[in-house]
Amino acid sequence: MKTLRTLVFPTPEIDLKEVLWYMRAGQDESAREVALRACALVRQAADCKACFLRLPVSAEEGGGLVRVGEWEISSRSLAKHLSPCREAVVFAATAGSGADRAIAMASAMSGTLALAADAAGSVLVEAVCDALERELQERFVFRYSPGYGDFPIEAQTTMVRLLQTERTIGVTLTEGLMLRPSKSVTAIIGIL
Amino acid sequence: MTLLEKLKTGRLILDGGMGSLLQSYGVSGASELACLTHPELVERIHREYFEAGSDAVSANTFGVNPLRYGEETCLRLLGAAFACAERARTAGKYILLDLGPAGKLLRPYGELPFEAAYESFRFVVNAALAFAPDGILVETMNDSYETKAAVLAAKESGLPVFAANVYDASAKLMTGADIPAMVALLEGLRVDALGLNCSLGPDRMCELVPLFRDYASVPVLVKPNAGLPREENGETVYDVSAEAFAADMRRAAEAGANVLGGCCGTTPAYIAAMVSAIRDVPIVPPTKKGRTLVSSYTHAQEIGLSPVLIGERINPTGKKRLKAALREGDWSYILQEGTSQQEKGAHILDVNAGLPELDEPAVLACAVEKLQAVCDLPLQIDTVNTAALERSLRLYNGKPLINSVNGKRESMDSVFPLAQKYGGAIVALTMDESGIPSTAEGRFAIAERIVREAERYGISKKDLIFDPLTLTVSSDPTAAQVTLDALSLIRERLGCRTSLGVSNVSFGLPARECLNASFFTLALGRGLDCAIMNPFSAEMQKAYRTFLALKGLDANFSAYIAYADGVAETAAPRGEEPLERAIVKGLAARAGEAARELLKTEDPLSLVNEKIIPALNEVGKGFEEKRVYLPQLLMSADAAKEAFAAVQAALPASAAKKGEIVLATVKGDIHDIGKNIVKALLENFGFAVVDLGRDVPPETIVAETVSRRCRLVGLSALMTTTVPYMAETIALLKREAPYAKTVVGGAVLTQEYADAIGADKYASDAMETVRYAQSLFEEK
Repeated sequence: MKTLRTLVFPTPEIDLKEVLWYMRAGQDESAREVALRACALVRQAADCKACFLRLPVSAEEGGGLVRVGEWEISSRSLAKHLSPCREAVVFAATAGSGADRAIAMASAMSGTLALAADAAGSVLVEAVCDALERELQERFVFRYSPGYGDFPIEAQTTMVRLLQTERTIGVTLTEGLMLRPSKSVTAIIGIL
Repeated sequence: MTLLEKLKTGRLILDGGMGSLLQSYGVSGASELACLTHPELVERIHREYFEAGSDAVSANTFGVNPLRYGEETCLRLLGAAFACAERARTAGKYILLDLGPAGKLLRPYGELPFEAAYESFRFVVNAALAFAPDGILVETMNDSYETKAAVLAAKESGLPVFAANVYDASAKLMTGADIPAMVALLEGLRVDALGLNCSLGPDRMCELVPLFRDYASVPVLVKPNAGLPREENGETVYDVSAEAFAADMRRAAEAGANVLGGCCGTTPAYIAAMVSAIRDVPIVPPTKKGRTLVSSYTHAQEIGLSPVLIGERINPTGKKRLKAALREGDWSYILQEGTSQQEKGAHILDVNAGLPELDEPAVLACAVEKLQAVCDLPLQIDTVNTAALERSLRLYNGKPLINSVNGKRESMDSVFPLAQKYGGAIVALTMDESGIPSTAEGRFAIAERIVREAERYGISKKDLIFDPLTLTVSSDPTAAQVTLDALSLIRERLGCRTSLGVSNVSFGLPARECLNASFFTLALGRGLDCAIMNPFSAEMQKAYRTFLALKGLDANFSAYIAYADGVAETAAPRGEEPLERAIVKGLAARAGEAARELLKTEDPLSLVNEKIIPALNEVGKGFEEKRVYLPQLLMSADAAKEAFAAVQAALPASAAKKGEIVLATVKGDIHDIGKNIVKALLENFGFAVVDLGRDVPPETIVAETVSRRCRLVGLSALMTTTVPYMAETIALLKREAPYAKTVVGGAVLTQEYADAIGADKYASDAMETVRYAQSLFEEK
């Protein structure tokens, strides 16, 4: 139960509507073609992976302390969020260094394509998270990541260590606490 | 028996974990320091491995390098480490110098330049020679580029070199390389064994052994962890037992791994169990693979299966715009030439920077570095300048294609030693001191001579790709036939791969594209393996796509159907909008076309000031008033860029540029989309942007600003954790470059935040930065 598992996913479809939304394209449909091209670029380069641990959690609605396995987190918002749960999945997901490469390539071609590729990468990594949730076949509360509410961004350090993301899915943390490759996510999802 | 002789007998047993074992004995801190603090323990561990059946142990030098310890401590640690290993050694056993990662990420992921990494490894290798190691193990590398730096330094010692990388769950290195790419790179550098260590558990690693065996001609090395570590009651435990480990390693040996050991979490007991488990497994010796591979930092391109396209457009010969870009260091134009060829289906990119007025070694090497940071196609390094070739081969992150060698003594004497050292497949032209033979037999004879000469350098014929040279049919009607016949002879009698540039064939005749494409088809029919061509040529694409479809090389015709769809699209009627409308509507192709038409009658500068900028201003205003959305603004910027490209081609130098602006995403921050958008807009409003990229240290930003005496610096940061670096950069700029104004932006910034860190201007979106730059540069 406490063992770290790694999954490699076939690259999910990227929802074009969401890409346009991320691009802040509004009602404007003229960016559609660029967005399609960006999706193709990103999908072809991405390699999508996730790793996760299933851990017991305890959190009280009014309290400020959350226990995830042996990890203690002080965060009121996370405590409230996880209060109905006894177990949670702690995970990291990534669209891989390929997605970053596709975005760099798009940036060399045009500003619009760069914006679209960046958006496509963001939509893709969310789709990987969705795919992971489907794979696990549980009822979840929504995903909660370091940096949301008062769940401190510094928690990324523990996430990366706990999930051994460097060796399992090639995700590292920069000095500024950003995940690299950039289209990567870590989160806790409580199981209902 | 030397280490290599032992390896040739079939199987070599390495040791298991050192660091994890020291930890379990209660020795904390970096494991190499234990050579000084607990030498008897280190010695005991080595001895136990030898007794368990290890033929070779790694001296406890994994983390020893001058970047981490400084040179003096390095020397002490090396001496102590080898002393421990020597005391444990018995007859017939071997000691390896162990080289682990430098501990700093190489560019473009981190800050460490390739040559600095190389120098650090070289220092350790040279110093270790005093202790006479039997070989060098480069291990736990998760970056192909750092692996190359370490292996280059290790090979220079003349000792046997083994290289092992860390692969993740998708069987790739952290920086993207897959197994065929690593085999190509490492065999190019002539390692004596290669494989994988650390990271994955033994079960997953044995699954990968057959993939290594498919590509590698040298022995495969497997050195897994005892599964994945986890913390339990404050202690690190591993989830694979010695028995399970041994069973998996037996499977690895059966699959053909011949150098076997363990990594983190394994102990002498694991090695002993492994040795007894594999004792009766028959040895599967490595076999020579005749596969022609070139590679980038992500993948290998095999030559000899389906024909391969080499994009020729990064070559300044006859290209005014590219010449200017190379001269002025306009890398974004050059990168675009690369990526757009990739989009058109090129498999390899030719890179040539041969202009008489350029410092070719510096420019070519820089082009290689820039291209490989953005584009993941293997590169063909195209030069006749030996210094430029060597520098580019060193810095190339993979196994390149070298263009070219020929039958002249001088050419072979200069190219082959470099290919021998750095690796690479080589395009070989069938000509020599007496020119190009007029018969197919004559060209074949030169090819044979080149093969023999290459063998003297240990370069096998799989790495020679012959170009039997295309001559002009208008001056000799048999020319095309001779080339095709020579191609067949080389393929059939020498068994070598072939390459051609076809466009020479039509010189002096009308409708050249038609002749080129048909000649290309004829050559493909004879078995041509690669063609250097313009991926934008519709006729050449047609010839290539239809050939693949007819030859049965296009499963389900999917590539052909996609190609046919694309043809239908581009045939759609083009608008006739004037330049301003084309920019406002974001029609890039039309904007370029309209600008070129106008330039026939109008002055380039007035075109910029009276048409391009006003049109962009109109869109910018719409954006500020929230009538226009960001993608539309950027599409207009792209359209303006096309128009600018036309203007620049018509101007002698970049006279149209208004002012120079330094842009950077600050240290620690790797999200640079906002900065890139600002850059695109600034450029299209006519500013010269010096883009320093992302994760840029304050010192670099300041040094660039000072050396260019830039009046405006734009900084972006996305997260609260990286804003402090922004503040640091601004403080340093105020001290070193007080004449420079700073404009800041990014998701977490606000006016208050910007004021607090002393920025001159806070821009909430890209247009605001443009407006600020305009006010700044126009007020003088």
